Amino acid sequence: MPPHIVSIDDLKEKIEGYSPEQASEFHVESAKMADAEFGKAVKNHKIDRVIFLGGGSASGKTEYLHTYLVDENAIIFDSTLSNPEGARIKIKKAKKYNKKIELHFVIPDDIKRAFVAFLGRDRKFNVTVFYNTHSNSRSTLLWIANNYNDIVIKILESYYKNDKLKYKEIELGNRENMLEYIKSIQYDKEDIMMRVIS
Amino acid sequence: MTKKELHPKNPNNKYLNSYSDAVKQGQKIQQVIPHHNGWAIKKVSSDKAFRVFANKELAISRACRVAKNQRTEVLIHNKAGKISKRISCRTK
Repeated sequence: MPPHIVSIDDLKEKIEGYSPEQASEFHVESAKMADAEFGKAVKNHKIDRVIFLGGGSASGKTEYLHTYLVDENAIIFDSTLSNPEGARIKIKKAKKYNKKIELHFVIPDDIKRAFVAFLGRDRKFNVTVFYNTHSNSRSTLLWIANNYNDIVIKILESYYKNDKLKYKEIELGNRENMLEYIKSIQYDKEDIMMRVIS
Repeated sequence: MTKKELHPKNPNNKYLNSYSDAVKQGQKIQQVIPHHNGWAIKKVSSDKAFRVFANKELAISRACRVAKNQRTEVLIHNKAGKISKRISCRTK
């Protein structure tokens, strides 16, 4: 059974007047639409899993979804997960309907490559969106790891080889090691910016 | 910590192809950056300045010309090296 995908970016295309060059202007509305769709989807008792994707812009989340999760019987929420409050509300909703929750978090091995992809794709956003999402999504990941022991967390590393995006799963053995690792990858916006322009 | 290669279930999908296209397109983007002799223009994918100009306006004008020909954009940095503007140059 294919997954029920809730994608903020796909929903933008359903908004009248949308154009990729003005993608940022449609983000708030499409995020609200995604929240509403997620709220309905979790009520479907035939699907008992929710997978949240997370990671900064152009880290390769959507590509991971369509390459590896194509036959998962799950609701998949495709967003950067940059807002802990938004994540908290959606986790609460999923728990209310007894869903098993997973978080698959994508980290680019080379942040400059992700930035180049961010700049080159059709959907245009200010560069600050890149810095913010790469910083904030990591802090949301840490917050979830600290507060929800029952949520299965998978950390994926995206890398680019022979003109193709590929993935490795980072295996850390136990939750303690995972927390240490997640702490080690926390960067503020300035750090992200410096890594991109250096 | 170990890293395990993942084998794709759906290796030839349009999303992977779009990502590769985005990387190629992004590599063409021109940057106007501070240089010890003024302002330089260079491609995002290159470590080397393509040309150096005495003033920023000239550098932006030239970068826009290149960007228009290559259907790409220009990132303009400030004196501190930070990106201050992203422009398409279509109206210039």
